[in-house]
Amino acid sequence: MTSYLTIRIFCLLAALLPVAIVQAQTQPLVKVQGVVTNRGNDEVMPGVTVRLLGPNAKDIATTDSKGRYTVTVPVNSKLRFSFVGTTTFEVEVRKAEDALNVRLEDKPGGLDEIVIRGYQKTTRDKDAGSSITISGKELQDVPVSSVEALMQGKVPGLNIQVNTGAPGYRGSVLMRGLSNIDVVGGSSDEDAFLTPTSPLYVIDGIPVDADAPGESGYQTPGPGVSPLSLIAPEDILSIEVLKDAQATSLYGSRGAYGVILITTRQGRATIPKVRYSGNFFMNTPPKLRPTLGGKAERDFKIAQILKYGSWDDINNRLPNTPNLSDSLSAYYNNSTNWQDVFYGPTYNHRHNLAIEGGSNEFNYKANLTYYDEKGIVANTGFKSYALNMNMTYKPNSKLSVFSILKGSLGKKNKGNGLGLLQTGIARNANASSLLPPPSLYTSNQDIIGALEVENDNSSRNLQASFKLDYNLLKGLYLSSTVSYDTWIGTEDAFTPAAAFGQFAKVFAYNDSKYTVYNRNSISFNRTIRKAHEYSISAFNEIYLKGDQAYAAEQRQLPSDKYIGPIGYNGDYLQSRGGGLLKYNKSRAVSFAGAFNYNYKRKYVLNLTYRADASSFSGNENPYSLNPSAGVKWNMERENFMKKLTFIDYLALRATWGKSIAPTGNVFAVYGTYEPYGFYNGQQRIGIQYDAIPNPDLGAATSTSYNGGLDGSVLNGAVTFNFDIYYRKMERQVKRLDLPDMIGFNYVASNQVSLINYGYEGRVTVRMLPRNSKVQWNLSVNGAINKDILTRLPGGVNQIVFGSTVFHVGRNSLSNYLFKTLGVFATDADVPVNPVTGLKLRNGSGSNAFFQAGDPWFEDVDGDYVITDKDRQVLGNSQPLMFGGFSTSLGYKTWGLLITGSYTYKRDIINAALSSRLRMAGNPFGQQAVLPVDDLSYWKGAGDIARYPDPINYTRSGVVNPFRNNQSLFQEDGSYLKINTIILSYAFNKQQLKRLGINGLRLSATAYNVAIFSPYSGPNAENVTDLGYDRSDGYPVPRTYSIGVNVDL
Amino acid sequence: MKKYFCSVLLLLLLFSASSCKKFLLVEPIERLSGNIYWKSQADVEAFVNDLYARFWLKISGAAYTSAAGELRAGEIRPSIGGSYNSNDANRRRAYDFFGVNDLRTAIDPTRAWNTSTGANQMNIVSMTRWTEFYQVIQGANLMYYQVDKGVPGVSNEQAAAYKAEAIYIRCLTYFFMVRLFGDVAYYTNAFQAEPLGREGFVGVLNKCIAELQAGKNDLPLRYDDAVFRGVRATRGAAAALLMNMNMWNAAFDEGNKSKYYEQTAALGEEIISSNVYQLVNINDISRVMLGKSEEGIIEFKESVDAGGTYNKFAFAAEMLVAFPEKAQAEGTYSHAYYRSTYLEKIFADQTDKRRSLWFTNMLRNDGIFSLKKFAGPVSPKNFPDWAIILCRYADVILMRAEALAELEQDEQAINMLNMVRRRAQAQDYDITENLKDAIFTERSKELIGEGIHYYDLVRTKRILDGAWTSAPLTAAQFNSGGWTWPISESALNRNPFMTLNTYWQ
Repeated sequence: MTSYLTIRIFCLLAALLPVAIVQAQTQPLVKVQGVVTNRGNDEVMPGVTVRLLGPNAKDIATTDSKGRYTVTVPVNSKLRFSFVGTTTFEVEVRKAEDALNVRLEDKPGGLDEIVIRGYQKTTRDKDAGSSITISGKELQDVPVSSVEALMQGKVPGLNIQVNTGAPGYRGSVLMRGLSNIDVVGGSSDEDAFLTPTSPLYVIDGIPVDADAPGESGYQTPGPGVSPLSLIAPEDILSIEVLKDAQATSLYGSRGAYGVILITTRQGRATIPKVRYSGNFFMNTPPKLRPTLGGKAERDFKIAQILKYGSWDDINNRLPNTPNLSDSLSAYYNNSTNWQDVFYGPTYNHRHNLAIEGGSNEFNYKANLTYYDEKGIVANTGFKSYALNMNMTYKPNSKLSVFSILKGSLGKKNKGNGLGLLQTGIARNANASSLLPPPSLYTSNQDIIGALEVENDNSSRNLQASFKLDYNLLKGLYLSSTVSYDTWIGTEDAFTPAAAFGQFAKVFAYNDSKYTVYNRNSISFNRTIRKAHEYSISAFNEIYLKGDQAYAAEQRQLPSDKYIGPIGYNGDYLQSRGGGLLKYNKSRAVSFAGAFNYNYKRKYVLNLTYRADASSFSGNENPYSLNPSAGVKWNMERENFMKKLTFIDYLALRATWGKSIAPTGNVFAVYGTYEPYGFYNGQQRIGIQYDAIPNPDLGAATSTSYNGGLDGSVLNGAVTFNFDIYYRKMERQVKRLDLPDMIGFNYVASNQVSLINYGYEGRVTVRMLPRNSKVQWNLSVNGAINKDILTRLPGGVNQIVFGSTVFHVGRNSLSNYLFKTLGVFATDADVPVNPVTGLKLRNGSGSNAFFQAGDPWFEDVDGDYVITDKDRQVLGNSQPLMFGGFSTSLGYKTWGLLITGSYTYKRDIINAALSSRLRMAGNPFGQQAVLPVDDLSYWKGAGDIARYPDPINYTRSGVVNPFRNNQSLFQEDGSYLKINTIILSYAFNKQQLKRLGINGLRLSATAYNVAIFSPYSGPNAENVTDLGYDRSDGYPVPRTYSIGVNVDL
Repeated sequence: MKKYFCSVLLLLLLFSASSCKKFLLVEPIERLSGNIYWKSQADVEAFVNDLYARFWLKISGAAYTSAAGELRAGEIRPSIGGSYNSNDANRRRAYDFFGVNDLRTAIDPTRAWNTSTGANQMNIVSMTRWTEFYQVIQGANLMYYQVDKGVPGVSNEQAAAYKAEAIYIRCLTYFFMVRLFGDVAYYTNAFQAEPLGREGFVGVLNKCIAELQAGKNDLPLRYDDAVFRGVRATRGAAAALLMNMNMWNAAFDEGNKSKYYEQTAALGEEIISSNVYQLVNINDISRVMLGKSEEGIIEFKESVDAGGTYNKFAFAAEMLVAFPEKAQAEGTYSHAYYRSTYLEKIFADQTDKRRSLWFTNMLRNDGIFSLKKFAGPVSPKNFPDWAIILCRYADVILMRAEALAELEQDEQAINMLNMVRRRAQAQDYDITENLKDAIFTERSKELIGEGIHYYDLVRTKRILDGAWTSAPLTAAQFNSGGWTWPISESALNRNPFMTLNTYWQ
């Protein structure tokens, strides 16, 4: 009791003392009050210390639970606001103010940083999981259609390759290396791609499928707009990327490939705020290929024929090839630059308007965005309109209601191609320059197809969600979330008669998709004797999902003017009528629980458990189980560390997590049955002899370990995170093609195992002192990832898929190629089989003997015949190391930000080069010729050259010298890319006040600025997942943008 | 308060756990999954039908009966050259290549008979492909597995019959493959997905014999519904298949041949004494060829009336009949004929009714030759609505005769032989004839054009003797597999254990 009294007296004295001093100085006193909020997430900050500076410096107040403070201080005194883990803020008080509101910024990677685990907020020091947070501010000023591309190079371990420039499409995203070795699609190697293993996105607490409805890989039917393309970067408050099993375990099996949490802004300002930002940007195509034009092309082809052609070629075929022999014909006497017809710069714009405001009891936010980008390939583009609104209502301290309403429309123009690949355009851009340019009379069908197909693809999304939080008892919280998400996609494409065999056609597609989601949770936390803090939480999730897609195509419309009616069967042989493409319905139920404990925030223990069941997995053993555990040691809180004052914090963490998931579905386990008509007058129902039922299809397990070290020294001058991980994936499902003697085409086998291990790190350095006029920050991150295939189905050692080989004991995806030893300089260099006296030849059945000027492929099996058996494992299509860097310079209100990313050690097949060499060897074709003078190719006997002779066109059919699958075209695809350069200037706030504007900021941005690479092709990043540089992919444009941000 | 809250929570959890399974059950409406199949006898019936249909589709989809069973014997020539040419001469040249055992040319994809499309596609290449045979085998294995697990509404007795039927279908497929390819990959478990190598065919057939012998008596003796006569498994069909397998093994497993002959004789006796089958009047023999007759034992039949379709090359008879046995749209003349020297030799008995009733212009060696044995009402498909007959009663009688002769039970053998001769109103066996040769010749006569002759030549090794065939093989050719078919190279894919037939490499 006595101590209580003493404190009170002491406090009273403390309160009176400044008054006494002030009065002594006879300075007038003013009352200042306001709210302290966090600049990153705009949330109010309780517990912020307010300190009076000057000769009588002392702490005079702390903010209350609503972030409010009130102080009475002398005029012209200085106040400092500070809080653990944030920057400090100083202000001079000149007059009494009612709303001296202060915003403090998080220090990067601080221990008090808010992180989200299984939909619950916690602070980083209480969690052992591995995650990286990106603030929304890092994603500004760059106009891109999907925010995913901006995350490139920002998160160690998240490998994003922006490998398409197609507006509205996603590149490839891999978290911590390969987790699924399934390669699908593609009759040729260039068409093959990895099965997408996208991380799970959770936007404002609602899990979302990042893939567009109906999307699978490259060839996307339907409008296919990814939900990520419909979120404006300006609306993003922060993104947290969860990497290890402990962090992701509460998201269940869907989080197996990583979880990315996106939090959008919420209204906080007491005064309504209006923010506008706009970008005007220009996309420019990369340097196009030099091409021989007009006479040069004709002369080149004729010389080629005269040199190597047979008697028949010279005397018969050449005179009958008018584009070569009839140089006077007006039709063939051209020098058309086809690439210019299809590729060109475009001018685009983007606008974003946000309105937010409210108080602690009620706040709201509305964000309206418009994006319009025309692709650099003719007749392609992406447009979107999106509205994202949310509001919070807190009628009392116990109840809180949060609701979101989102509506958006995305429109994609795919041109004639199917999307990512513009094969039609590439074919046309390769047309002979002798052909006339497109005009009313002389266009060919393909060109009209590419330029004049009318394409109306739109994707509409409506999402509503509602979250209710209730604080039942002290420390006990209940929460319930319901959301409904629906997508409608339509595609209408009209091909005019001139582009389709003189009959117009029309294609109509529509799909719809819905998700109903519900989550209910209960959590309880308590601190015992100020040392033992623990929390228990549990929640369940329910999904109801469905989707369906229809398409109809009608050909031979009466004319270009009558489009439709669809469904009428004009040409019954070719019209496709209509039909259901897809129909799915599924349900899922999950239960999850977490237990967290810490002792004085020094020793942290996290335990989680989650069980998922889905209607896909059959009824017998539907649950997939995800346990995880983590420990963390916050070392700087130990007494022995107290003396090491230069350490801000230092934490060691270790986690373990496991996921056991039933693989496959009822069809994979029990087979699919189908009626097949009648036999002998009796009904037949049989099994589909496609996938053999696999009743032994067990559970796939994935076990991962993660160790990490986080730290910060010298008052935040250097902060760092390091992670080391090991992940073992066992019994993964892989489609295994079966031999004839099985009768079925394939089995969903779950005998694939692989391991991944790697290291990740990020270091951020404040290069100059905190109070320096110039601020310079540097951040570098990188990840090394290795994967090893440890088991394949059927106990086999290797499986070949096109030019990719899965080989046990090696990296999972290796290139399987002919090894090119060189080019035969003379005929005498060709090896001769001493047994038969025959020269090395190509293929088993032919007389295709190699000769001077042909490539020398290594004859692995020693039979002097080059067949597919002579291929060998060479190269790895997956990168060894990847990461990024960023550096920011600030001086007064000027800012310069440069970000980049890099990929190290990855093998690329330069298919663009091989096709260029092939094109030089086709004189009778109506294709352009790309000059090959710059290449070292074989020209005559005795030449030691790098490339075989492309001019001798007769060899291509005999030995196929420019096959893609040879080591000659495999190159190192390492690259360093300057992603963005942003220069910004903010106008002085005081001056702006007079204009009634709170803020005005201008920026100039260059995006995809430059790429440095030993790779000889155009762009080492613009290649397929499996490292094929397709010359007909969608080139990545360079973008220049001018942006303006206005705060009203 | 806390207590109340906890109990509510507990109730909620209980409720959600119990209703969870129900909630998760989404019946796919667009596809039928295996876990909701096999729920009634009708499901099993529909599945059996599918298995027979797949076997039918495989053997009717290509020229199995003609190319594999008849043409390779070398007695048939295409009607090209001479006065009455086939209207389809180019394609029919293939027959000569079969006749000299040049199967490589016959399956050459660039040849006219392989490049045709639609109804004129002979699909000879497809005969080398295994996949469809193994689909039937996998299906049979799956059916056995499912019925064994129990199907609601199927009694124990019915289940036993279905299981025996699955075994029967599997054995029939293996036997058919063995005759074509020699060694095959053998498995009986459902869901076989691991690749296997080939296994000696004698052993394969022995396994088939053992399992079919065990299940045979679970099969019905006959079906009440005439629709199933001949086309579904019966005790008689299983016995006839067992006889065939025994006779095949007797030829290649010489050490144990008497055992095989004894079994054949006993099984033949069983079929005869069951009184289910009978030899029809010689005037009605063409009715037998249409299927579902009193004489048919193992048949495949897809009636045009029931909406069936088939490849005309499925039937050996297709090339051997001339108008009016076929529609004039198919050409007036037959596409092929038997060499007159051969027919003169086997039909030496002038009183034999088969000479007069079965042939038109028997010895003409050109397109007005017709095998009237296959006459019948011409269906909309331009041919009589034939069945593929793998075994009929006369075949069984003669097989038994052969086995008995090998066992030197001549008297009984002669009785059997005479049963067939008497139906043809031919002369009885004469003691001057060599009994075994007489039985073989009798089979050649009785089963002419039914796709069995070449297998008989191989089985009795008469293929090695120029006296018996126009296309003899040397012993070396025979031993290295000259009697087999080439196997599609695709069989090697993804199967390290697989080998092809070396003779054709």
